[in-house]
Amino acid sequence: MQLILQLARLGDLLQTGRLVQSVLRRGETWLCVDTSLVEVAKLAFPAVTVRGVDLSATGMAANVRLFAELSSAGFHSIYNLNHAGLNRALARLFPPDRVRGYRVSNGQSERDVWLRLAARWTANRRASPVNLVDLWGFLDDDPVPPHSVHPEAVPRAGVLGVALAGRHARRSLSPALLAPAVQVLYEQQSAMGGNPEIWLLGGKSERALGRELMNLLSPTVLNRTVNMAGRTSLPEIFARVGELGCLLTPDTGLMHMAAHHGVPVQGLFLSSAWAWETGPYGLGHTVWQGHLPCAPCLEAASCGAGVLCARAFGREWLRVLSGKSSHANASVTGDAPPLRLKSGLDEFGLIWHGSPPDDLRTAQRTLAAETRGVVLPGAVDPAATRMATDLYTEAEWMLPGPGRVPGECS
Amino acid sequence: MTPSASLCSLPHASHPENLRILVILPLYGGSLPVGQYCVQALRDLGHTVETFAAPEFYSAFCALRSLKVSMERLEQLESGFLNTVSQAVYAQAERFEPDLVLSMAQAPLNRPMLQRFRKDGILTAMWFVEDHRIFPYWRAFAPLYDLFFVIQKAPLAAELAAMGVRSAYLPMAALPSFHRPLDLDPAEKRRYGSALSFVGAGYPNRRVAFRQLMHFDFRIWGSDWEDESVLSRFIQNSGARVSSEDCVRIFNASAINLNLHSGIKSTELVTGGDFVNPRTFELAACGAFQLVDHRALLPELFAPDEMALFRSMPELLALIEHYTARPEERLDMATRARARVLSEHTYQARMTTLLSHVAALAAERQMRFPAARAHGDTLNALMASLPADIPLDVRTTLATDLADLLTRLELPATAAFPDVIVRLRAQSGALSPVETALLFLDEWRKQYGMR
Repeated sequence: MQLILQLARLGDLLQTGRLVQSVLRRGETWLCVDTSLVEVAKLAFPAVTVRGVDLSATGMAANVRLFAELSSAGFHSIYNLNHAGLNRALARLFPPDRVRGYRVSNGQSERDVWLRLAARWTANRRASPVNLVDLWGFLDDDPVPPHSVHPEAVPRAGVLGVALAGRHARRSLSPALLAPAVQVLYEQQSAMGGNPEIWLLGGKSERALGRELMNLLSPTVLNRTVNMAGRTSLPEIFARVGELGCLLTPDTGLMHMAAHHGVPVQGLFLSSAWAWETGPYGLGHTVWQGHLPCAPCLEAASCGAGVLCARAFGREWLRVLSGKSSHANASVTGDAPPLRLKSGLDEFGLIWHGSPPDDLRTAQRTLAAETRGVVLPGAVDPAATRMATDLYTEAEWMLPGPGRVPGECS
Repeated sequence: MTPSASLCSLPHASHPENLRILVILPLYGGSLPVGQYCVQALRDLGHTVETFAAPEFYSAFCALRSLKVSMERLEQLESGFLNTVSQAVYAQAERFEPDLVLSMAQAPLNRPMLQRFRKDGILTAMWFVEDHRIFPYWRAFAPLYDLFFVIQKAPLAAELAAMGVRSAYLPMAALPSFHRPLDLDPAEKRRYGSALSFVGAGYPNRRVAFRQLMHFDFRIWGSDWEDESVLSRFIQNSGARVSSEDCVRIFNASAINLNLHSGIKSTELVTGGDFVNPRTFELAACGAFQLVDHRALLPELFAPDEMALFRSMPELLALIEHYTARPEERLDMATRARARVLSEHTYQARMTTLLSHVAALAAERQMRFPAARAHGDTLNALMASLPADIPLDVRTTLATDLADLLTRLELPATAAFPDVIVRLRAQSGALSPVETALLFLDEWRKQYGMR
């Protein structure tokens, strides 16, 4: 039996898919999530036994019962995906040598070498080489191939879904910028057949935003628009997203739902959102990535540039979105359209086509893949050699790491 | 060095003698016994060898991991710890003044210390007895060694060459004085013997593959078999680590020794990889019969009539049936394999090859190799210089004491006086009269400016 501890948010839960599928091949698998995500976890991973951890202060009695159940279940492998204190505490139910990812051994916090390396390369997020789905997937020594994680998103007629906002307002387009994009995508969906509806999706807090957006839509589009924000439960939304023909969204949990179902995503990535880290996983997705020199920024830090990156999603971008213009993806001025990135998969995981070559990212990705036993082209490039000097420290070279029989060349 | 030149094709004209070699053992792990075998082989070849005993620092590293500090702080402390250990290596080298610093895989020599050795003109070499794909951190450290010896060929040789690293292929080996046929008594045969045995760690491919062998008289020895319920009744001593000495006993006591190279995927049972593991050579040197999975580099090391190979699990099962019924064939093949190891695949042979590469590099750099140092007399010369009026019995006793001393210090009979003094100074505890006399003589010579 195996257990995955994923106590983070909806998007993170859905980005655990590669690990879940990989671990499932080896037998019965349990998944611990926030109680609010239990139902959607069951829908997303029906072969898994899901348990909810009450992350509120009032959940202690229920948690004690759950922890007793987990403690006696006899898990031989536990995958602890987050460094948060809650995760660390929960992982202490188990012998540390059975815990992959983050663990506490004799009171000492530790992490797998793989996550140590990740902490190093994320120091320069702009060159991030590994998508989060793959990062967690490779906590398994032999994860399922990337193409088997999600169905390919093939263009199709049907409802246009619009996620109204990301968790951070700065990562979302204002209704004024979003409305013309909805118009363009509605026309594209219409061209594929039928007379599609537009579903505005989000929580209760986005309902007003939906109304504001509707005020800016043309009568034809407005006539087909339904503001569902705050009117559907998470399991209902999960099912509804699977019915979409396309989803226009910032970097949100809804986006990962669409990727999970194989629904084509038009992702709006600006501010702190970075496609190479958390872009929609699988083939057939498009991300519009803001790429000012300050991108990606820190969510927690205030923007000193007046969220200049949002201006990239203006008139010229709409021309590109509608197919009336193509752009060179080269300018980095505030008004230049964002990069148009098309998702792809290599042997290691998710990649993005359409960005200027980035030797640093390529080198880091090659090295990251190599540490997990995947050989990508470019391992002999001088850039990879230079990068290895930065990425690998004496600790990896000389000290035993978890999950490895040291020095066993036999 | 071009890749082709790296394949042991350097001229062996130079066989350096009387080198001082500092061997850096790793803190832990599988390359530790390999390092110890190298030390013995180098001494057998007549060199003066010191080891940096990194394993003695391992408990300090473990103590760091019990501090219960933040993850980031621990990682800083580990870095500081490794720096201290590296400085200890350098300090030992300052005293010992080696001609060569030979590191085994995972040896605790950090980047600044390797750079200092290079600046000091002390040659460094590593024998990287690891799978370069499983353990890719070599990319950051190989360029800092003057020579990098590996157990794999393509594409590693080309990658190292592209990085400007001078490398050579140096396959694993056996130490005949240790890996040898044993005359086991009946109790030992019962304790260590079985019709079929395996010694090694519980890698994923082995865990799955061995489930097909459960109908045999099968014993599994070694560690890292935790949570293996299906094979639990075959796992000996609850998966305790097996000493090198017991490995040799098991090899000798088993009718068929299974040698399945490790694989990290449970879906690929016979991996068909390239390098040949140490167990292959050790089993052969013991005169023990083995069934080994095919490896790309095996045919150049052993002939088909020296080693029984399998490429799949059905082939393995068929070979077990075949050889179980034919002990004479097992004996013949094992005898031929042992002869091959003794003639070509010993650690002494490997160290000879390694040192010829080092000597070639030293010659290219126009370095004196061994380094010029005050060699002085050998002990034989010292004996010859003793005053003539010393009685014969005293002279004979002294000669015997000196010979015993050289044996105890693991020095060759031709060891230079300064080398003996270096080793004597490193001894702990009270010295014998003859040892004290030699140290006294050295101090006397220094005081009066004599050589």
